[in-house]
Amino acid sequence: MELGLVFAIFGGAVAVALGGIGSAVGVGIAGEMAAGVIAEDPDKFGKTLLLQALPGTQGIYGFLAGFWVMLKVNLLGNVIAISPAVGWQIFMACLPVAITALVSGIFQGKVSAAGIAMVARKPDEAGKGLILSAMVETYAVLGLLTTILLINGIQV
Amino acid sequence: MGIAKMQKIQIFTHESKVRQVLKSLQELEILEVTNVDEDFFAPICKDKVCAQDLEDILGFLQELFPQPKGFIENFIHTKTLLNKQQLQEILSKPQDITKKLSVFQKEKESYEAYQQQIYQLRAEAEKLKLYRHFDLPFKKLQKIKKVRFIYGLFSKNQYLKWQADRSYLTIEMHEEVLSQDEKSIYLAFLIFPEKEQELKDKLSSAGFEEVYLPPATKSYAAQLIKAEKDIQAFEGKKSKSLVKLKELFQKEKKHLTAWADNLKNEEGIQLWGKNLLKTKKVAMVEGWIMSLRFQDLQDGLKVFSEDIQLIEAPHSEDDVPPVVLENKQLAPFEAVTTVYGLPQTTEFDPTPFLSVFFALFFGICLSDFGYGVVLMLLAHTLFSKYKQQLTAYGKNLLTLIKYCGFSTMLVGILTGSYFGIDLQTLTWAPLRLLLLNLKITDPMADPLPLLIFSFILGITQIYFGLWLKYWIDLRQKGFKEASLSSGVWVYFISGLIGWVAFAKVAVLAILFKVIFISGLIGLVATQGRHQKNPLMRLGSGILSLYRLSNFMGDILSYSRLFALGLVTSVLSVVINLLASMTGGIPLVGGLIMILLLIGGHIFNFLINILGAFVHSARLQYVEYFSKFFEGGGRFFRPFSWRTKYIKVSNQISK
Repeated sequence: MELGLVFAIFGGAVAVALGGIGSAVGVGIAGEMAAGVIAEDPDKFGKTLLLQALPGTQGIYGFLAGFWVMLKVNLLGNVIAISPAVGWQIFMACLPVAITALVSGIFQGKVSAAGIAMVARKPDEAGKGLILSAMVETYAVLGLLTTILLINGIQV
Repeated sequence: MGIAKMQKIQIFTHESKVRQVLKSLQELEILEVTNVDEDFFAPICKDKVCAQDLEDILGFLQELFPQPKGFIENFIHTKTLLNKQQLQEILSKPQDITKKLSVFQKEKESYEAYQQQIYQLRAEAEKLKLYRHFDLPFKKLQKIKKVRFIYGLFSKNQYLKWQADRSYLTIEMHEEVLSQDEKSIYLAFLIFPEKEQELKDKLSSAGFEEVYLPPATKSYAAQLIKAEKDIQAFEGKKSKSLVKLKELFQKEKKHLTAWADNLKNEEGIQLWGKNLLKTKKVAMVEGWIMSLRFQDLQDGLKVFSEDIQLIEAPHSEDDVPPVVLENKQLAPFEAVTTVYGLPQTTEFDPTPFLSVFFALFFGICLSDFGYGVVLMLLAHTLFSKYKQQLTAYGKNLLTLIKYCGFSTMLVGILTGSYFGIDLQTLTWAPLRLLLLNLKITDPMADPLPLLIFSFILGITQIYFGLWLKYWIDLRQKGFKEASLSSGVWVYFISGLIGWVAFAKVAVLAILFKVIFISGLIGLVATQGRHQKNPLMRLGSGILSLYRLSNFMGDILSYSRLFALGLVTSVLSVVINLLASMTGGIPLVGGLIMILLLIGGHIFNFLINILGAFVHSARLQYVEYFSKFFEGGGRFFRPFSWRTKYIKVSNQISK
């Protein structure tokens, strides 16, 4: 029965780690651009910060999926024993958010960086930059949604 | 509600009154002047104070005394605030500003002179610091004619090498170490003139750095002391001047800034007045005005009745008027519309049709009573703190945030979410029962109801969007064309929705099924009607059904409402859980718990309001607007007093 738990925890860990990587890379890309813009005009800090923060959500989605797994097997209290098959199911259920968060985080970072470059020239159009960047996030949201629904549907 | 009606007008004015008329128009702020380029500006300075002078001084002062800006001020551009009375008072004394400016200019000059002096003295002192190593009784040395002196320094390493090497040196000379410090040895060489060059070559290849000493009557050390004294003296003067400048600036800031802005506008008017379209005696100003304000314009220009002629000008189709949105209570939601762009004049304003959806979507995304309260309080505080500095746009934005906060509170109550606290753990029974009774669904325990509700919202909005499109087509294309293009879609989708919704009511199900199927046939029949070839016509008709899959995608996109709502609630539960786990740590546990709770919730709050705003807006722009709205209208920029430094409020001071 132990093995089931291993798979489940592996799933949660993968979701958290990949989501985190996606966000870290995305926020990193946007942050580099933001620093460049702020060097020219420190007053643009607020607006560029918002754009930089956007690709940060993928990490949270991954973390959330990880937490959802912990709740599922009650890791924080009396751990529920699960079969390896169920463990695998939970692992698979974690994949949608893990993969979408990883990839969308990076690409959202790129769009955010471009948005920040736009803010440098047209500071009043920051709202449009935010929306463009949020378009990418959609797929991480869908990934998270699927993961949550899948984990919810698994019988333990 | 909607887009304000605009009208084009021309004002013909007598040449002599051009400036006054432009000035009045600036004060009225209701006419967009199309034949004046307000960005065109060249300074005019003729033996009197001009805007450039003041801007120079202000630039100098602002660099000297930069104003620290908070995070929020970055977003709302705070300028010096003046009310009309104060402004008039300041502007009524033109002699004053001439005097004040010259005081500032003088002070600036002396400040800069001190700075220059200090700069020069520093450079000199730097040199003297080197020379003082070579202080010799020069007066006596002047008597020595037959030998030459070479002064300079070695680094310590090089000197050791030089000493080792020197044994091979055949030149007759005298070497004297004058002084040394940590890095270098300072030396003087005495040499016969004919051998001077040879020694110099040897020295320089050994790394010797020659120093040419300027003639001096006093010892270099004494000179250095004097220079340093002078520097101190000038520093003292400079800091005194700085204090004086600061005092002056604080006292006269309002005057300087008000005059700078005023003169800039006056000079602009002079310039623009010259460039107007004109005959020998008459100039013309042309522009757009809201029809509602036309009377105000006539009243405002009444004083010139003898010298001007105001007429309504005809305009052609491609002469596109600017767009002004008019929404009374719903004006805050214009902020959402304007991020996407303004409607074209042929369209209508989508603001009222997105308002409820936007607020509701925002509420579902944030979905916590506590966060809603915080959001409302925050908006309220900012509103009252910056009331006078805020632009109309800023005020609208804060009101929008209040609406969104309210909607968040409601959704929070319905989903039983209060800072992520588990309601079962509430100890006071009446409150627990009340809150539990108010809760109608718990997305954490059972996600499906809220997910389905999100889809229903999506279907509602898209269906509504299709109706709007039909309405626009009715207005623009007439009944027949509108019904054939967008009407059929409304009919078809109505059938589909009705069929699904009333699947269990036999009669209605059949009715809607009939509507659905006839709609389907109708689409195939009508959507290809622009094709001439009958086969192509059928093909385009069938292809048009592909749009249905787009609708499916659009509706699925609304699942983000549920997902983002869940993110907020799960994160706040996690934060509470983490905090409660630290509560057990002895001594510092309580403190860590409180810090975790506050920090965690602030983080969750910030990251989720950003997400809620952005994703709610996206649903409007991508899923909703694509059904009926194009956008691309031009902003209305009334001819007005442009200010760089001050903001004039309408309030009368007490």
